[in-house]
Amino acid sequence: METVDETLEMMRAEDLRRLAQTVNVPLSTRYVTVTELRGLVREALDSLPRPAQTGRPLSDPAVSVIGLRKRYGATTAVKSLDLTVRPGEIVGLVGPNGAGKTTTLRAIAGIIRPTSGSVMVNGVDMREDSTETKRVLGYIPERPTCYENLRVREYLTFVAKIYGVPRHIAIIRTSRFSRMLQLDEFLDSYIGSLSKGNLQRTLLAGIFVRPPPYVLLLDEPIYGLDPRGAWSLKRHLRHLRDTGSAILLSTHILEVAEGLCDRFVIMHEGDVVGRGTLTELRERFPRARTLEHVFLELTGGIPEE
Amino acid sequence: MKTHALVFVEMREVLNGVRRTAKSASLLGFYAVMVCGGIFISWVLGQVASAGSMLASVPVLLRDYLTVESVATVLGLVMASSLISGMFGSGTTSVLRPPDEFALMPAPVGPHQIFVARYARRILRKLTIALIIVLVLYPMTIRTALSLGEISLAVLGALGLLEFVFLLSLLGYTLRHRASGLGRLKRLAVYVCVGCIALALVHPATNSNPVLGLLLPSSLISLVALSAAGILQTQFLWPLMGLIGIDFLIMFLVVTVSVERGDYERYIARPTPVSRPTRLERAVRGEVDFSQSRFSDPMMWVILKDFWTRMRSPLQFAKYVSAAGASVVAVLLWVVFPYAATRITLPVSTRNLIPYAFFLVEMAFLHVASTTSLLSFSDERENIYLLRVSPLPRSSVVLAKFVGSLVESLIASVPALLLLAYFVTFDGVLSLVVLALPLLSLFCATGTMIGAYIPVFTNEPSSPPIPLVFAFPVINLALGGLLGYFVLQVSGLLLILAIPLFVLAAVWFFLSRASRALLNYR
Repeated sequence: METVDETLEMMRAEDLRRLAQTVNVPLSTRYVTVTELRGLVREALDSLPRPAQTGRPLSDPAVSVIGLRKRYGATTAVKSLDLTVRPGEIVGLVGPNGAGKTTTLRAIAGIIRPTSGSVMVNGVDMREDSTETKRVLGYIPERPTCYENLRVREYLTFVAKIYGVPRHIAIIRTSRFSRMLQLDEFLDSYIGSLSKGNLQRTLLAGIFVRPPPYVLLLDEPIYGLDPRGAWSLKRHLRHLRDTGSAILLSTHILEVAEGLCDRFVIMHEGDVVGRGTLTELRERFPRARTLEHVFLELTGGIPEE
Repeated sequence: MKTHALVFVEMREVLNGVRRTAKSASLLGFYAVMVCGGIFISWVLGQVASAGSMLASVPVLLRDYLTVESVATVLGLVMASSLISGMFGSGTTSVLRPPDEFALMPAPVGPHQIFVARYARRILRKLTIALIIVLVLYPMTIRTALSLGEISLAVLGALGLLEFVFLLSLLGYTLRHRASGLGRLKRLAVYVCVGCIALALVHPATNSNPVLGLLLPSSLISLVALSAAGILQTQFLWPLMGLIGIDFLIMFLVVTVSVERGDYERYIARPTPVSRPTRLERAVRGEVDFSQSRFSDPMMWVILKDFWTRMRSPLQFAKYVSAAGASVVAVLLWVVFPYAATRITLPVSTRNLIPYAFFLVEMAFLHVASTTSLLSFSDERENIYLLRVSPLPRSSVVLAKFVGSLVESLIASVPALLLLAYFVTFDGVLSLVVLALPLLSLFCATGTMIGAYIPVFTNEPSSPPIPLVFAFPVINLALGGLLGYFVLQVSGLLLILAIPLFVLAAVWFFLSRASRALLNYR
């Protein structure tokens, strides 16, 4: 992971100027070279109280769902779901369409209230609507959408404000993650003019602009990303896991889930039909060689050739 | 601090919207059409008002008929109905937007903070529109006895009234959902309270009561409106406006504190047009399978697709049923009982104005009916791209939208026009009814053109940009006025030739623009 110094080295002149203004670098000359400015910014940052690179560790388990049930009228979207996600692990939530994955993620995010059962995030019941708990939450919905009349940079600044990220940290993290997600050339573009892939990158950058650890609830995060962007994101998600974030990832792309997740929860028609590591799941189905085979076995059987 | 940040970002979005408009020549063009056309219409109205002796005596006539109680009762009725209908509306969820699901709902901000920010944006937009309306109406003030201050006050008054109506509908929604979690008796008590508030707003006794009248917005607004119009003399105009401000603030705060997190869930679970078919819709859907159609023209397929897609909305179905009913009644009246009904008779001095008045009403009516053409492209939502990439010539898509809207508008409007013509009759009234076809052709062509431009300017065709929507009535009124002028001033062969030529040329122009717009989709 990049250090602050490395980020400063890679920062564009305009971003560096913006950061210099934010940390009150006294600029008395009309012209200053980028190298000089970088030095001045570094000095100014050193004089500030060194912010923690990461927040307080998450409680264990970071996500605890017990007996979650959600009904919409006569339809039961989720039937008695138990689920835990510990800090430092990526759990894959897989299942066919209509299995109840999105409802589960929304209930954990506190957007919808469970009909029964409890949802604890970072040790706090989501029904209590704890503002502090929400600080660690990051949620990407299945169909990405964003405020189309905002520029990407404005959106990231807005998110930073909402989550109380100091301005200079927000600038540094914006620069770092916009580069990681190949978004730097679009920072001044209107969100409404972005392609779906770049929109997805913007939403991800909006999460990463706050310091970790996070409880990430990602619904198809790879959607719309090109191979390089997908690779960068997967690498970053693994880094986040290794530094104590808890990630619950819902996807249809089983290769992605297989390569990224430590454990799996397989849902079908609102029920959990399988759970465990890939090895444990394979043991249940000796014929299955991949997660795809396990998935098919659990959700109606492998179709005949 | 967070509320401040939320309000700031809303304002930033509005500002960015203006900036994007300023950089887009076509959108600027639509704004220019909207404002210039509006100013032109306002100037024409000013000319008419200054020339017509009847219009000059309007305030005197109104003084005899309007009382504070009657106006307050009417306003109270509007407010009470919004309170009650609000109980079944989308209420406070209407301020939420799709990106909120990931950006603000899981964020450490309260739902009341989101509401405050969105309401600030709403007020800013409304004030901007009010400013544009005042600017547009300015030419009218030059030719009439009205002052700019009076016009501004009237526009602000209308804005205030709309905001009261909006807040009351939100209050109705909140009360209903809060009550749904209570026991039966408490729930009943809440509904009785809603009924009492509605009754208090409507009842003349409360509105005329010197104490209660000063608390109710319906009575306060009626007092201010009548004073501003010179119908009522009062020395307390400003204190009354202050009281309206206090009422508004109380309403706003009550709604703000009652916004709750349950709105998120209701927003997420809101029904989509295709997700909850009613029995009637299923019946319609089950009985008709338009894939069995014998038409082979792709244009007809697009028309049929639109027709049956719309028919799956109960409202549309009701529209056709009422059109059919009105047609039967109109035919009965005109053919079977041509002189049976008591027709409206107007004073001799105003009879020469009746054709003009009829034409204006007809034009307004047809304009409303032709709104379907404006929505023909935006109704497609994201599916617009399916049409765009389908192997159809652009002209077929545009013509399908145009013809489909024209037929639908004719079905919806002609029976009602025949009924109107039956009751307000004069020599040549049917010739004005016949004008519905050229007028609707023009209106549907402008609607199709503007509708086709919507996806050019936005990625969300379901929420079209304001100038496009406003350009629609402005262009229609200007074109309709021009056509009306021809019909009422010119006669003979020239008229017979001029109308079809004018209409065909205008329709061709608008449809060719629409076809061109399809090339520039985002």
